[in-house]
Amino acid sequence: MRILIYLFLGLLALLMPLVIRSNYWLYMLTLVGIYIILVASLDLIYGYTGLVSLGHAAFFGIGAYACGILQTKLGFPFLPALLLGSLFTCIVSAVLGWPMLRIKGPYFALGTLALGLMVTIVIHNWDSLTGGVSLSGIPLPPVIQFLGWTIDFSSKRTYYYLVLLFVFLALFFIRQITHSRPGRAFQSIRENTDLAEALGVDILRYKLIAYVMASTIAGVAGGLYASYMGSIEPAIAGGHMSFQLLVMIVIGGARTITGEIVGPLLLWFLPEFLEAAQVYRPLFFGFILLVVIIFMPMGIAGKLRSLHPRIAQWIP
Amino acid sequence: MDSLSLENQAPLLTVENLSVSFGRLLAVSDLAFQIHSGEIFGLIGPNGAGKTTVFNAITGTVPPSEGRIRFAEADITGLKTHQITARGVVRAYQAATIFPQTPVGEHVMTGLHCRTSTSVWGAFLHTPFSRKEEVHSQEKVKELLEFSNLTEFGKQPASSLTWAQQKRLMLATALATNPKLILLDEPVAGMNANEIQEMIKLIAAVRKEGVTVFIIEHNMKIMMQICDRILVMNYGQRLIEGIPGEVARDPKVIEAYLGYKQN
Amino acid sequence: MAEFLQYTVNGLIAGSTYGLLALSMTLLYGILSIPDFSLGAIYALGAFISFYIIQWLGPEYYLCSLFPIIILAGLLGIFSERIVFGPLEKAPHAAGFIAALGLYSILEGGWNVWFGSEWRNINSPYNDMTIALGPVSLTFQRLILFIVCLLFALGTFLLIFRTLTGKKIRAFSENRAVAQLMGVNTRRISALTFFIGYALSGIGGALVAPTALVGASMGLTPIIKSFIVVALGGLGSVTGAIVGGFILGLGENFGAAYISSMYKDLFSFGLFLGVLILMPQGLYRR
Repeated sequence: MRILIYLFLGLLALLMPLVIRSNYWLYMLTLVGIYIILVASLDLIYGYTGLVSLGHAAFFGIGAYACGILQTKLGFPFLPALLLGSLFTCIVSAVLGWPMLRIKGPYFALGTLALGLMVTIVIHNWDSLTGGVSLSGIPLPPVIQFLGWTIDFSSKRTYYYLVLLFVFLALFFIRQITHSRPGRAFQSIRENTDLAEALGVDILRYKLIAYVMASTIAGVAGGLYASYMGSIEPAIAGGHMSFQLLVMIVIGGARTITGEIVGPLLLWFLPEFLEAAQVYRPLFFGFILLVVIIFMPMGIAGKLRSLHPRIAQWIP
Repeated sequence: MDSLSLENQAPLLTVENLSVSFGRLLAVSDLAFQIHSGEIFGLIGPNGAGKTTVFNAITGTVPPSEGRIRFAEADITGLKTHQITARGVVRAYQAATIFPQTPVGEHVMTGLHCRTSTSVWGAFLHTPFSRKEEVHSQEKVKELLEFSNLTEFGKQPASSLTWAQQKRLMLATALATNPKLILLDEPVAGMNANEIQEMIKLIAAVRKEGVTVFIIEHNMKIMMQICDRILVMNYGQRLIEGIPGEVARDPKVIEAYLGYKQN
Repeated sequence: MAEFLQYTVNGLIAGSTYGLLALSMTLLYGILSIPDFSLGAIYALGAFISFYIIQWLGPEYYLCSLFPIIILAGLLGIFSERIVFGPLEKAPHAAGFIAALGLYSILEGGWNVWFGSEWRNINSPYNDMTIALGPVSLTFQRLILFIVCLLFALGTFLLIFRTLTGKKIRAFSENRAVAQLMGVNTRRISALTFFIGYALSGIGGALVAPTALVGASMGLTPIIKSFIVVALGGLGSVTGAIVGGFILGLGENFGAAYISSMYKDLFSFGLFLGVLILMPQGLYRR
């Protein structure tokens, strides 16, 4: 049943550039794709494992800067830079997560916020390495000649497909993990940590696994973002970005692929359609967040599922 | 059960000089007892006697201030809870401690966590090992659901069950960890007479499967019915230990429960 | 030696505002069981109100601006208790925390829209007057800041520990159900605590305003620092909040002086994480 939905959505996404020719809209969709990867990774820690992280964007930033610096300062080509950058993000998240995940309750959320802010401060001040206020000149992936085809990443359409590939990979990975033994462990931690421990789940270990996996995926998204935008600033690792991601998953609906997709789509395009000026965005985000958390805490996807079991079958 | 033959084997669980204090409050004081493999051992005492604290100390939830706990010849004092569960001691809580949104079948499957080993990579790559383990787990869950009479609720969220059904679910989930010793904290609290009898039958069936049972209960009559031996506590200390018949007649026990000496 | 004293005084002054903000946070924590992030926006609101009062009425009215701030911030507190946090009483804690974030976002966004997003300076008449206490010098404004903060902290302390109302607040935060059974009007106590908490934050912002830049997001860093204070002193502890505030203020100033002022915030956050990791209960003092 769900397979049909996946196929449908996949096909829709693949055919989108044939319908939408405008570079502007392709650009938007590509960015939304990067956000979908980010939000899906956040869902792994927040939705499934129950950790409220206000610093998830820190790893997005670390991944972006690592990938960017490797390319601009050390001349690495795109793919190795992306892989090494993600590896770096993975290691940093493991080193930071190991002490941080012992912190309980609201302190953990605040700790992640502090962490994110610290990362932005370091990026901002270490200008010899990171370019300070911004790091620019990050190149696109090189042109590839493959079986007579030329893949040119300066084309908005081509980069869209690149990001789409990673979206598929990320969503597939997360789905596989969460519907299996590790996934059950994550959810048990969220629903009743004491019981999970009593049943033999090593809480710290699994929190760490979720945290590192999610942060690494965020780092990959960062690398994709860095090459796409060409230049990046410290703010991408900061509190506002992390907050946006949290809003997206809460509104979309935690623990659902639908939510991981709808959240970013809605919160990206709705302000666009309403032609809201940049200055109204936080108001808008905050307001929707409040409304959802009070009246519909399971988000849009969760609400749809709860309407009827028949409908729930169609909401992955 | 022939108590003579039990005493000849090495005990399964040994608690020595156990004391647990919270700040200045001494919840358990110099407690010692042994539980033998295959028996149903009861712990009884008035409210506040320290019974749940004993469970907490055994499962590693609370560190003992003094004393040692030995299980299957190994010292488990100070180990973390999940490590103790992996060794074969599992606990079912007093209050309805469940995963509320998890469907019943998956709930029981969570108990299998420490007996399975599919890793993140195995899950992602859908290795043959992970698939075999998943099939095996599904079968085990089916068995356990049948054993505890919960098969019809397989897909329902745990929170939709009645109190008695939830207690059976807690038991089934705990059994999934394949324990040698199971600690039941007030398993029949809040149940009506029918539900109590069902639970008693279930507990007897658990023992028949080879699992040693350690029960905390208030209800003296129930304990007389199921336990092979009973330990009575009061004010954190051991009062008396013995077979149900002796214990129930002991004047100190009667005094503890009724508050006055019987002539 | 003179430098050391100067840093100490600076630290105590900074600490008094942190303490005030942490005090409001800890009061609300007793009711909500979550840290209320939106207090950071109320802090900014207090600063804006005193800015406009000075603009419309003149700098002499600076201290008078504290009164409308108390009323406005307090009313906002009651509003937030009724509309936002009340409905979430039964929800899991994470929901309340997220709601607080949402509320902060709305308020900060609102200030950006209504008050404009530029940073501005306030000049109170006390900014130019300096006094010297031995080797230490400070502006009159900062002395007032310190004294007023202490007064309000003391006032709140007395309220909580020496009055019947305070007893009700404490009972409520310790055990809501029992407090209700004892006849405490929980709706009223809740509303009152919110009034006080929000008012204190607003005052904190107004007091700091002449010594710092005023802008819609000026409350972000202070509110995070107040989390640090509360982590040090223990969530829910009134004395902990006040004492912790001073500790942070001193620690920050000495750190900045003897280490590096560019990384001052980094140092505070690092200290924060260190405390959280090593002492999960804070210097708990309930």
